Amino acid sequence: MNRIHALGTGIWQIPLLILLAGLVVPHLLSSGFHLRLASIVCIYTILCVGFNLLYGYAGQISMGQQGFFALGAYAYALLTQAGWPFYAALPASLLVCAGVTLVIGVPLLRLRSHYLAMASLCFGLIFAGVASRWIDVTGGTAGMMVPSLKVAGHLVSRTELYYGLVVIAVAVLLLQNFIVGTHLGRVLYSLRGDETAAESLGVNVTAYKLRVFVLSSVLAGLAGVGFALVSRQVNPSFGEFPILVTILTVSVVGGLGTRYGALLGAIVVVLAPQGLTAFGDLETLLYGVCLLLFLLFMPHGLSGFLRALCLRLFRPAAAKPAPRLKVSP
Amino acid sequence: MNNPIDLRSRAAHPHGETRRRPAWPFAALVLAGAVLAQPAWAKDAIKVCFVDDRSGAAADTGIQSYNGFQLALAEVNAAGGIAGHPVEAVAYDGKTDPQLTATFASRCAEDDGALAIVGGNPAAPAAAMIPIATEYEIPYLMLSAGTDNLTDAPAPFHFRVGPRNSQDANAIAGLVSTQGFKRVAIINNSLPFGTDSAHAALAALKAKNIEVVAQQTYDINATDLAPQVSTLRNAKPDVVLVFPYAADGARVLRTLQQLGMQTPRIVARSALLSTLRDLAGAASDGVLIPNTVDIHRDDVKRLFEAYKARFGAEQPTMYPVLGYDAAKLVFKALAEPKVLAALDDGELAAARVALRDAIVANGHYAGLQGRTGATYQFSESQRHGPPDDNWFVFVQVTGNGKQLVDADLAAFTPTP
Repeated sequence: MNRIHALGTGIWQIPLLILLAGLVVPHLLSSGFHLRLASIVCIYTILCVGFNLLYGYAGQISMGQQGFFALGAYAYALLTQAGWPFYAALPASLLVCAGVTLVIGVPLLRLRSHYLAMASLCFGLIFAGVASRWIDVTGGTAGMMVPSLKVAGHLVSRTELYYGLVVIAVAVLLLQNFIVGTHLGRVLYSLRGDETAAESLGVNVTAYKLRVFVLSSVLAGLAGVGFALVSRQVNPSFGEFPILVTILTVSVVGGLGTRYGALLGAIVVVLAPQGLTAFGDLETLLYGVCLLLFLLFMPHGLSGFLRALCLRLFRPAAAKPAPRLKVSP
Repeated sequence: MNNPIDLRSRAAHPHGETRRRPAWPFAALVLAGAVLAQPAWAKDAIKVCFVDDRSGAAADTGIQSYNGFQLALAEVNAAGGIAGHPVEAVAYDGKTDPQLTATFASRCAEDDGALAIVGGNPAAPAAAMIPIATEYEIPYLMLSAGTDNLTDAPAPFHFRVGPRNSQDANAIAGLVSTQGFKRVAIINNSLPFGTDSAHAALAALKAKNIEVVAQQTYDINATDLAPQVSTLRNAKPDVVLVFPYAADGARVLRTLQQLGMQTPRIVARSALLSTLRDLAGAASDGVLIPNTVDIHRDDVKRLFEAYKARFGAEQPTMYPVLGYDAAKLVFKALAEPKVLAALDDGELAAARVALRDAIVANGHYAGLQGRTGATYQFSESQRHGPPDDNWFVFVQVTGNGKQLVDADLAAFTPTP
């Protein structure tokens, strides 16, 4: 059982393996296109870990994560355009995300369930609307170009950018593991279970909800900056429905409330459309059918499926259920 | 079932079972025939990518443009390809998702080894492909994405084949002025196409000193548009301009009809799509639409006859022509000696640069858009192809939304 325990709850082991695998990946890829896919996997992992902490662990559903994703990207683009260097623009963008979340979070987090979802969705819609209509500042539909990343005079290559994203994605997974494995994680579980009960046990519900909301939006902003650097552009589509749909799909496919669901979901959601192009016009239909099958047969996503598989494979013989005895009449 | 040449037939087995006749000799024959039937190309295929939205909200535009692209492809291959090279299309459906579209564009540039990318009807996916074209230095011919500033930033490998929103707006404002309308009402959806177009129309009308008495914006998914249309009606305009997508445009026209507004209407290019007119039915009759295809040109007629023969009947609109013209622009440039020399040397990057230069050099290409004699106007400093003059042709909807005919401008005047 110790092996099973280590497999499911180890803070360091699996992220370390992911880091090693991530660092090896560029040596196995044949083109920059593949590197772009790997970079997007890292970005969606960062984005969806934030959503997982907020919804999967704390039970607070936000449909406005794409708004924070775009906010981080736009803040970074505007700051770099204003001449800020990367090392200043990045933390400042994340601070902008945190500040906006604090401002809107206090009233929003008084709401629960679908009311919170609707209110946060409104934030996403408003942001996308502002981004496409405030043409003088945001460039409107065409968006803004983001210059290639320069650090200390060195022009960062695509591969180096990918390595940076891998390290950040693994750090985010570690952060999630740390949160989930500590007192804070248990508080989040209690929020998901019953806020009133949590409050009666002395949990400052509002404060914790606000903290996890801010953390998830900062992670969304971080992912947005990463996406701006990979795309070398920001445009209003960063804050629109396709991103939200991707977040939800990653959650369904990977598994909500699991430690590595965001990574597994991101891998499938980024790679599947590329593999399905071979089916031509049937591609969209097949993609939809696959998602339905995930929902029907893997309600806990790939993460839940793999966990069940590991439990079955590594279950000690003694732990197997005893065969039923036939009772003679 | 016992016909011996039917490969699906099963001969009766002595013991009542059935056994399959060996099908491989026939299959081998078919395969050999198929191989022999292929034209024997002397050289490797040249790949051109088509990345557009063939599902999602803008599917109609992507499908029609791809059909036009395929007609041009069939023509060039039937004529022997380009200096012995067959041309091969690699097509991806971006599903109106900008991030997916950009990823497909990078796949075209890296994995597929394409020489050029064609596509981009909605603005957001089109915008997402521009940095890819710049980064990989691959010519990208954008289709009907109309946002004005898409071609403003320096992007040396990016070309726009379709008109931009301000050109539609100027054409509409010109018509409104010529026909003597004085009080204009505008209604547009909240998507980038709607807001950008309305923005451009306001500027164009202001430049002609024409008063805008009301402007309303609605969400594309709104089912009840009566509040917005009532506001327009109360402003008593003498003409209504509509900037919608397909389905919501039909709702606007039906609501205008239901609320008894007989005011002359001009609807943006989205009404060229049959989806809008089919949904609106009789409510779309009489509507004027700016088109960039002159239906009286013989070459345009020939294209749409070929389109009908291969894909079914389609009204003569800009979308198939955009795909066709973009493909023709690329093929003409591919035939330039510098491009072919780079290809023969296996220098893909050099071939792309030479192709970009050749598109610029052939910048005054006479395609099927515009009136007779109009040409594109690409140059080193001009990546927006359509000129401002002699490009737009207004068509009118008739026959319960089924047909597009010449606009009857004599009758399209303010109601007394």
